[in-house]
Amino acid sequence: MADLLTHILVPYVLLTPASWQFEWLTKRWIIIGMAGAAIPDLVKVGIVLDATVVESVLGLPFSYSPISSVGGVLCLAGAIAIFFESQRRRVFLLLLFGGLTSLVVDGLRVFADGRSGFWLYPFTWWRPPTPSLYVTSDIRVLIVAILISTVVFALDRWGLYKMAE
Amino acid sequence: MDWGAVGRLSIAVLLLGGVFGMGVHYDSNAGTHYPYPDTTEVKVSPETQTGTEVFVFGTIEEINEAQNTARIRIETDEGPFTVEVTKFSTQRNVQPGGVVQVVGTFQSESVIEADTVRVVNAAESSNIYKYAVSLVAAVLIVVVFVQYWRVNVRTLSIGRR
Repeated sequence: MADLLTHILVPYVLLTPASWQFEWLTKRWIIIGMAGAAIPDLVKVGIVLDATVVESVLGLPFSYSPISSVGGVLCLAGAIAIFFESQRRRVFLLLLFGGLTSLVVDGLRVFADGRSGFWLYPFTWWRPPTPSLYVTSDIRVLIVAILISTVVFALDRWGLYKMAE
Repeated sequence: MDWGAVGRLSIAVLLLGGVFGMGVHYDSNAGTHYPYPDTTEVKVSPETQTGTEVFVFGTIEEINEAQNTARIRIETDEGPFTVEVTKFSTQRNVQPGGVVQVVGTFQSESVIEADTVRVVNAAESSNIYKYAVSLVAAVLIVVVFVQYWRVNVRTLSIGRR
């Protein structure tokens, strides 16, 4: 998967221009979308606690991969949203949006056979084709994400987008 | 007792149980939907995989430019094993410690004839870069989040600042 910084910048780049249209979409809510983009990265819990350890303790086959799938993002967004005191539906939808952007970005990376992983699980086992745009350690991906984010930040911070209206 | 907190925690545990259930279901069924043999199968019974198309991720241990081959280490549930990849195309900018994806034909217990090789990490240091950038992102998201939201550990709730 792409690095976490790229993941969280993607919803920032998408939601900030949307906030110019929707008054309710303030920075308070954009940060929720950015946090949602980190959900699929929770699959890295496997670095700390290997899936084979879970398998041996519970005596069941087990994989962390669903965390980085639509099903995992749905469940984890719900599990986080439930702790908010109000507007849980909005929180859930923004977390879900962020998580889905991460899955889509990851679905564009290089796979040697031209098909991405089972990221649409559990809804289908279909592996969507990937244009193989980048490899996970490609620093150019992060540079592009930072450059676009900087432009969006400048447009937003100084109200430059209003000049185009 | 704060019944609101108990209720929130119960729902969250149920949803986490859903993730765990998917983890069990996924691992039990993904193999039947994946067009390539599981790497553990390749390690455990390589004789049954001869002539089969495989897709593996491997860490480069050694590159032989003269013979256009590389030795890669493949991790499995039953521990790692090494194979030699032929038709590797050594002009790829990858060093020992780097990670590659290989699609090719499993020729024997320790040889894969590559059809496609794609570099995931050019060197071992690529992982350090990814983890460092991800750590920066994690700190950034937490710092910005707590500027707008207040986490109450006692009531297990998150509210506006």
